[in-house]
Amino acid sequence: MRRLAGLLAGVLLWLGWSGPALAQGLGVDLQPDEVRVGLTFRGQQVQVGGQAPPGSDLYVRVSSSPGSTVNLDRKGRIGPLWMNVEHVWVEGMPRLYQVFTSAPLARLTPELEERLGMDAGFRQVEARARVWQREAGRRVPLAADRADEYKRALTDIYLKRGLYAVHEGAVRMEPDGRFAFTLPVPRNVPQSDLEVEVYAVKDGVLVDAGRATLQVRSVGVVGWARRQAAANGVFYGIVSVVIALVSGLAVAMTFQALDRLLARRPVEARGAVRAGTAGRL
Amino acid sequence: MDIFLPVAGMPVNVFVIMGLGGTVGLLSGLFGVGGGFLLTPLLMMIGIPPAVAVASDTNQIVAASVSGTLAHSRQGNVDFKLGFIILAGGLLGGSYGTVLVNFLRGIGNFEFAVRVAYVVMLLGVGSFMFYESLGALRKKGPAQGRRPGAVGRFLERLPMQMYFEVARLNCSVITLFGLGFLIGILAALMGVGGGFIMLPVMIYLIGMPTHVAVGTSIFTVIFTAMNVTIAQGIVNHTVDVILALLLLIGSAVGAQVGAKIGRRLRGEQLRIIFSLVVLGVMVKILRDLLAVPGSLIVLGGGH
Repeated sequence: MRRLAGLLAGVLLWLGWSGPALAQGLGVDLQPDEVRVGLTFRGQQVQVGGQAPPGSDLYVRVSSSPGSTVNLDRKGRIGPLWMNVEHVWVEGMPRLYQVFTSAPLARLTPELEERLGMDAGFRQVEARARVWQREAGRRVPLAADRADEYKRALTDIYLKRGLYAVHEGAVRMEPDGRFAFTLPVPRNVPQSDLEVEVYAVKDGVLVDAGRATLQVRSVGVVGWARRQAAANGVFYGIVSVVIALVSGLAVAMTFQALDRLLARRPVEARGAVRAGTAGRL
Repeated sequence: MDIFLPVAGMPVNVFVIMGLGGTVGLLSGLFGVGGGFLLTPLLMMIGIPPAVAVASDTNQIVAASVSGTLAHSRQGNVDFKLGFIILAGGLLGGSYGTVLVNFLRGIGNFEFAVRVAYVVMLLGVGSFMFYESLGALRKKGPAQGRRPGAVGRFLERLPMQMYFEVARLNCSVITLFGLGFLIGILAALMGVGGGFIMLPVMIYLIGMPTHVAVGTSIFTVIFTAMNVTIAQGIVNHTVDVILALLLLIGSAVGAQVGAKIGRRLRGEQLRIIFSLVVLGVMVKILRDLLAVPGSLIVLGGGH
């Protein structure tokens, strides 16, 4: 038993020492590892923890799949009037992107910023996105400076909605390398899995990295409606219309019944009064 | 109480949404309009994505207009026969209008032209109705909008004349179909349901009594709203059935209340309130056009 403990200690010591050179992937633990979005969902706290090389700085990136395309309108002036003058599509910007660190982001070198895909001003996310426009039915990429303006605007929109955020110093780091932080999954989280990527940096060098996937699943009515809306447009459209028709009918009939009830009562009352007077006479 | 909207992807307060639906339903019951002009911007204000707001709003209009139609038909205000003929023209005009929209988009500055045309039209219709109904109120007479002389005589000479029992008027099927067709084109061009154009056309061009015009207009709205909802479901996948359900509970009730209030008002009173709503909408659109926007780049409506 003592030998086993000694062996374990030895292994741990070896891991601790040679960790930086190994960079085999640090373990990331999510508690819970699944977010269930139902009718009562209002956001959720997820505990993220794990073991990193002691003494390293941790940089964590949480992002949704960058697969979605978003369209943006630009308002411009025509004469005295403001209206939409340009319509573009932005591709490759994740709808959720949050950074959690145990140290200031300013400590990252430009090369590391690029490699980890994170910086304080979201330039790295923007750099990976593309903006295009439709001209005569064809997709035409926008010039870099004009594209940057749209990417910036989209970042601002996501920032305002709490989907983009930088939490510097939010990761607690123990001397033995254990780390932990709370990931607040926002109420408007995009319905796609979130990738949690953890990078350990020591003396300006990436020494270890690990990742975990936080599943975001729609359940119950929310799941049904999302799946039908996406895959079964005709059926879903018809179901929506039928629900509306039936509800409209039901409300109208309820009101009709109420009217009849209300209309009957005064008549009865009047009848009673008449009967009463007749009796007296 | 909060509830999560599946397609909009965010939670909302149930009572806020039902209240919004109720307000818009009241307008539907009173004037026979869908009310999308009011509801869609309000939904966007509480953070619903524009495309979801438009599509779900159309879905709830189905319920509001069914509820309103039943309320009005009990009061004998719906001319189903006349409504069907206008509707047939409207659906054909709508499909033709969509083609026209695509063609005009290609020319450029389409939105500009449409917005300006819309403001001018609302201003014209609104002020005409305002002065006409103000005059009628002063005279206290039943000065219903009658067809003007020359046009009226021409319309009366058209073939396929038919008598409409509820509206109590003779009119050519061709006239009704043609007007429906024009309303359909306008609705497609302006991106609106057409209720705003429908009511003045029915009152002043066809010569229907105001209450029957309201009831018949809301009847035709059922079908245009159904048509658009299914189209939105197929093309944009942006109908949020839960959002629509919350809205429609409010709006179906609101439509009933609106119809009840409407019954107590005289035709010219109804017309004058409607004209004020139309002018209010015009001012709002004009203000949006003139005010410097908060941010120059915004999320698009989704095409």
